[in-house]
Amino acid sequence: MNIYSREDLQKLTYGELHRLEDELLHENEVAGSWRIRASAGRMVYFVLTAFFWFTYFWSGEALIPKTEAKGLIQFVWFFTSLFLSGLSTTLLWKIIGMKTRQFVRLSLHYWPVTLGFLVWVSHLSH
Amino acid sequence: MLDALKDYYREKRIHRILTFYHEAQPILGAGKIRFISRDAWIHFLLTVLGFLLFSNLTRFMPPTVSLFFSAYAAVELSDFIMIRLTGFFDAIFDYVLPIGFIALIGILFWGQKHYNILGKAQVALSEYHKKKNRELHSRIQKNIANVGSGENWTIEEFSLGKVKPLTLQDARAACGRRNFKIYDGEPFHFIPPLVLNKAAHFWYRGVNGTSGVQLGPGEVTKPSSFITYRTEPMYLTLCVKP
Repeated sequence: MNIYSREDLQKLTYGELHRLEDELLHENEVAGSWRIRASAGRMVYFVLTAFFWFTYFWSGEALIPKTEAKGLIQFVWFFTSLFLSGLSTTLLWKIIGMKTRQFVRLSLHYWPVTLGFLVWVSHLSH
Repeated sequence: MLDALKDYYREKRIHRILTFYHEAQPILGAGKIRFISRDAWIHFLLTVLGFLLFSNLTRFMPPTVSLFFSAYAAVELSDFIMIRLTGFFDAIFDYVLPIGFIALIGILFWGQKHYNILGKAQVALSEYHKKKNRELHSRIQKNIANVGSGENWTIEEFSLGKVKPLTLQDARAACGRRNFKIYDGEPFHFIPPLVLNKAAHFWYRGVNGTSGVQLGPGEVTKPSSFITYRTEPMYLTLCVKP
């Protein structure tokens, strides 16, 4: 279902279009559904969540005392850290702002350029 | 120029917004949800192909410039193709390929039942292989008959760990004593196994009479192929059983 017509969109300024697209993508990237599929922003969301989850879970694991209840605490912490990592990613993806989000999305869309840049930089350091 | 570029990206953005809800999967999963869409795969393949194309076309540029230009142009080309030809790809995958596949299966069944086409194809393929083998075999025989006539060059013989110069006349004499023929080939990178299996001695020589190195039969026993790793053209001289 298209909720915008081409005429509506052509009336918008460059900045307004930019914001509209970001809103559209951002809304679906943080949503629990799969509507946006494996888009660039969605992938970043997953990678960040995994990163936060590993960080929280393993740092929390080190702090859990060696008692009889360790297994239970681990079980609870597993889900708590998972929740916290999702929350952290959502907050981070929101507060970095529209321009950074678009930059990350474009970097992944133009993946050969990004890859070429990384190769070029690594080549320079040798 | 800048305005035109801005308009181009603006149009691309409008297109993305307009197609977003059309392409987005249904919320409640009415139908199969693909994690990576068909269009995304096609875009990826087109990007890789575009990169290969542009990196070849821009070989005259400095490597770094070529790399970044090709990478950027490949993505832009894929975007352009996917925007303009989405309907074409949809038609290919939704109609042409399935119908073509069904038609092919049908033709094969019908042809096999009435005309035994698979049997005929097998016979035709077998005939083709025989013909190709005959051609290859005649080519090898022709090469063996190509007796060499090098004049201004020397070859070297490796014997008991010592390397000593050997002229073509010496090589002819050595071969003649064993009733063998000299095979002095063209610049090569591959020698057919049938020639190698008959060869008694191997010599390399470079172009313009530069000396080479002998590879004796003890060192090259029944090789399946003989390939040089040198970039410059080399000549091979073989002492071959007639």
